[in-house]
Amino acid sequence: MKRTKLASLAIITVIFFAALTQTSQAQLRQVELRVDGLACSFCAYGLEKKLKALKGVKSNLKIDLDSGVVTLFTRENPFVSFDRMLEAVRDGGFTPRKIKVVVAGDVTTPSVLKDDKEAMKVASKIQKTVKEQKLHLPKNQLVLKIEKLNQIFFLLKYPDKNEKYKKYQKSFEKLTSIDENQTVVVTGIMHIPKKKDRKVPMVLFVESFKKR
Amino acid sequence: MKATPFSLLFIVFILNFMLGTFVEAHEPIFGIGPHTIHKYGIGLEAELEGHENNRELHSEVLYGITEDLSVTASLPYHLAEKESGLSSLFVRSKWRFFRDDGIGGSNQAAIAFGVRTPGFQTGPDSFGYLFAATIGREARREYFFSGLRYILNTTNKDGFKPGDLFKYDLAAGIRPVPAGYEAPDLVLLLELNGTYTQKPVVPVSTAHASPGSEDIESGNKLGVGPGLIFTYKNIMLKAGIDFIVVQESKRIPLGDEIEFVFALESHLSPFSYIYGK
Repeated sequence: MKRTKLASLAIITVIFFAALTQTSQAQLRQVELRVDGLACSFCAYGLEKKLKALKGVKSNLKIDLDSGVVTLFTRENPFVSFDRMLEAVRDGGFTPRKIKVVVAGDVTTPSVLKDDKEAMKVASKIQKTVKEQKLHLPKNQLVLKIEKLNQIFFLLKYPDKNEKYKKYQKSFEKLTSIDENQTVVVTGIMHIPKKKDRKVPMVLFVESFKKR
Repeated sequence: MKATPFSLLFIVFILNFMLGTFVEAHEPIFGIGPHTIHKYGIGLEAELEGHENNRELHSEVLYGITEDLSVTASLPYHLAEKESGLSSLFVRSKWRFFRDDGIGGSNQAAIAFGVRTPGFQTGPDSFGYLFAATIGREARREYFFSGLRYILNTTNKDGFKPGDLFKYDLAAGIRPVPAGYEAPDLVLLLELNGTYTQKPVVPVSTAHASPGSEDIESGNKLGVGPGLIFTYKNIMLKAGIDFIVVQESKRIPLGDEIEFVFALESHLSPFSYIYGK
């Protein structure tokens, strides 16, 4: 009886530490929201109130009216939801145009995808949501991901055709060649799904990364 | 406690600091603009407006059903030498059906519909209905607004019908120094406010009782109104004076030469906690 109790305790401890390890795997550090429609500090103050009300957002956010950029700093726990962020901006009567994020985590092979079939399913969903950007989505562009609990960022290369993204594309290629489970800090632009496009995979167009 | 303009302004100030606020953007002082309050937002406004001998203190409550649909209830307190007291309750709904946002600016359009209960000017049983359309542009440097309002008045029990009003407004504004976030912000406005007033229908008995009332005519009047909007964080102060520059006939009702507005506005966000969930 005593042995069973001890064994249960050991299992619980292992699960607890495994969970701890998992949560420390990735973190969202900074989010830059490009918000359209911000003309004065009077309306920006309102947006600040709404964003600060989000769990996981620190109180020291910054607003630049001339560029329309709102910079948020996030707590490690709870993980701030992008849906909530976009909802807060939209409900405030503004238009979210772009999200730039800095996220730290481990780059791994796509173990979350069970097989090629699932990989193709995810690829097709992503293709659907970013179709206006004419993105090529061969399977090898999905090989990198950053995982945080159930949050997965699919890292993608910027669209090939645009010259100004060349340096970002080189950065992405370097990222594909680093060791598996290497911890990196990735800066990238998130694709903003439309209001109706819920549950689409989170897509991050890589701009740069740093090994940690 | 007797409601005075200053006590109501004071209450708005206190509520502003106690509850923390959410605010919307700039609007014309005398005219109408396309802005609506944000979803679930509650706004409070105390506005003193009128002429030399005829003033009204408007207490307004505003609620955002969605980010593009708001409802406003306004209760004016009539302040005059002869008779003072609560005037017509006015309820208005505004729907912003178009919004084109860009970096540091927005182009918008809205329509509005409102109902005014009987009051001092109209007598018992005469309701007023507002139909309005407005467009506006707001940017870091400049502002532009234009609005059309038609106020349809109904006939009361005694057979008196106040003249319908057709209001047409243009407003342009400039921010002399584009202020950064958290800095005091000043916008200067110049408004052109026109009103066409229809001749009221006066029953014979009333005409006998107040001689001269049947001589009131239809006509246009046009005013030029300089004004300013000062904001600091979440507090907005609006002030403007409208000078009548053109008046078709001296017998147009409400043909006062100068009209003023002084207002304090703040918008509350008591339900913002729902975003954190």
